Amino acid sequence: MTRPSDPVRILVAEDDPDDQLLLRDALAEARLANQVDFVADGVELMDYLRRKNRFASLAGSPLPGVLLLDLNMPRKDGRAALAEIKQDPVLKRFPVIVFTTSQAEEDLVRSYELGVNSFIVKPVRFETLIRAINTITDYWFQIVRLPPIPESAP
Amino acid sequence: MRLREIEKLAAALGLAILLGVSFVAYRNTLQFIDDSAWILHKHRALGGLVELLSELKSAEIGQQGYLFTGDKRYLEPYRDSLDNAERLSRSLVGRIGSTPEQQQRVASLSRLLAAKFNDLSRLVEVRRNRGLAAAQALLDPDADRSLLEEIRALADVIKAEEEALLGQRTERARRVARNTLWALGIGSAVSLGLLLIAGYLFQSEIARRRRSEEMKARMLVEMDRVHEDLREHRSRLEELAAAQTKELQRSNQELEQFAYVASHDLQEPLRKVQAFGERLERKHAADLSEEGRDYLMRMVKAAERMQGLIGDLLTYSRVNSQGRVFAPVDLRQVAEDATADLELAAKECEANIVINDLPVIEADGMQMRRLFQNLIENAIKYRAPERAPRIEVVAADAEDSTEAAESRPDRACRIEVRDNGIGFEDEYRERIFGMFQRLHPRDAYPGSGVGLAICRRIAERHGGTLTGTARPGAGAVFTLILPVAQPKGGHQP
Repeated sequence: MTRPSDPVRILVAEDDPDDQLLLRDALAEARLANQVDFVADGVELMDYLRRKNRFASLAGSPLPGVLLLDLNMPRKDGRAALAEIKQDPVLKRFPVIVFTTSQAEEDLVRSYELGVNSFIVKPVRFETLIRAINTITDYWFQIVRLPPIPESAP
Repeated sequence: MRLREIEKLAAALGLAILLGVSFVAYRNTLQFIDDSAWILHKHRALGGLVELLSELKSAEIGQQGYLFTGDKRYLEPYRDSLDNAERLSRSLVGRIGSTPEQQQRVASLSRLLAAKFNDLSRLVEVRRNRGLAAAQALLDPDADRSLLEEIRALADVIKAEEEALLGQRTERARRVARNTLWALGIGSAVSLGLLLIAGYLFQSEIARRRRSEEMKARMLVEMDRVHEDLREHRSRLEELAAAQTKELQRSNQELEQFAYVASHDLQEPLRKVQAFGERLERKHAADLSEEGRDYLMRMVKAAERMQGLIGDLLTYSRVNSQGRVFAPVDLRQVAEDATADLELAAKECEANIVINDLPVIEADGMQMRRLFQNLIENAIKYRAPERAPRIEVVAADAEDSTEAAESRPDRACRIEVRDNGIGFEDEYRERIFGMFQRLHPRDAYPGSGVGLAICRRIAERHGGTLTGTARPGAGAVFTLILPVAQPKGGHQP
């Protein structure tokens, strides 16, 4: 269990380094106190959540409170990762926000069917991106009550 | 004249000739029989005349014998001959004398004969009763001879006349017989000929019919073969068409896939250009010169435009692949919704938009809304600067509005979007529906040039058409023809 005063950790699954940079910039401009971790694809994401391989050292540290998930990623894409998370008895309680450039209706529908909590199309303009980040953090960290966060997945 | 009729006529003619010939032959034969009887009769009569003269001579010889000898033995042949002569003389009347002259002659002859018989009998009486001298005293040889000669001469005349008649009659009988033979011969020949002709014609008619029957049978076989060939060709063509349709659908799908992927993947780097351009502008504008800031602005604007183009391309490529199922759609409601979306733009230029009563059809409501929105938006965008836009959406009369057509499953409705804007030259009526086609410079009228292409693609997905007509400066009319009902399975590839 983590202390309520600790800012919740944000995990971003995003393969594009440019997008990572822009997100970092936006998060910085939004002046968030939350720590943000990045993983580059679905495989890394699952390793991170399960504290395996490269992320074994994180064992014991708290899991992130919110996951921003890109759908189009190499090795294992966001759709497969989302399906896996939502089938996991512990991980399925985390809010997952799809954060993608895809505007395809089938992606939208499929994501909600898999149990995603929000579906956000990446804003084109940086200003909008900052606004979106602010809205997301406001909503998930100020308004919404999140489930208790376990130390790590089983 | 048809062969059948010739044939009938020949047969009828043959029969008629045969009947005619038979009749003539019958009549001639009767005549011949008649003539023959007459000739026989005449011959007998003439024979009688000759016999008469001969009996007369015998009687005279007998009488002379008795007169000079007184021997009674002469009397018996004398009496026989006289009896015979008298009998023959009586029978002459009626047997000879077919003409009045001849009858007269016969009468004269009878009288002369009677006189002669009388002379003979008288002398015999005198000789028997008064003796030879008395008889000789009565005997006048000259008168006697002259009477006899007179009888002979008259008999000769009668005989000659009768023989002449007989000759004529015989000649006639011979002629009749000859004519009959000729008539029979010619008639038989002609009718035989006609019957042969009729038979030949009949035969050839039968042969002709048989040939035509055979020909018909051959033609039927040939036609069957041709039908079979046609069926084969058609099914091959249908297969080919189906294969081509499938190929076309596949290539269409590939194209859409390509357009989708391309536009999607193009968006990624573009978004970066925009985002970093913005970052540059926001964080480092102060470090740039005036010129640098101008370049940056142009770059960001170009990227924005490209964003729009890609978005439209994406929309265009997804008309077919992302279309919804067809359901009953109230086009009037849809057009009003589309107008509501454009309320701001419409208010700005004081546009008067009139939506008339439109039909309910089976369609993709979202796409219909987009279609009307694009058309109305265009009408507002290309308004004439000197007048407030007036836009009218009306259901025009379809070509066929009879009751029978109303219930047809392939019934179509015709909707027009009319405006009073700047219109366009007629030569551009097709070009305006092309992808990225523009008629005006971008700074005069913004837009990607895909709007109408999307509209037409939507119409086509519904199995309909979209065309435009206009006159420069006099407004444009866009005509939408859409089927009222959609076939099962829709038009989606």
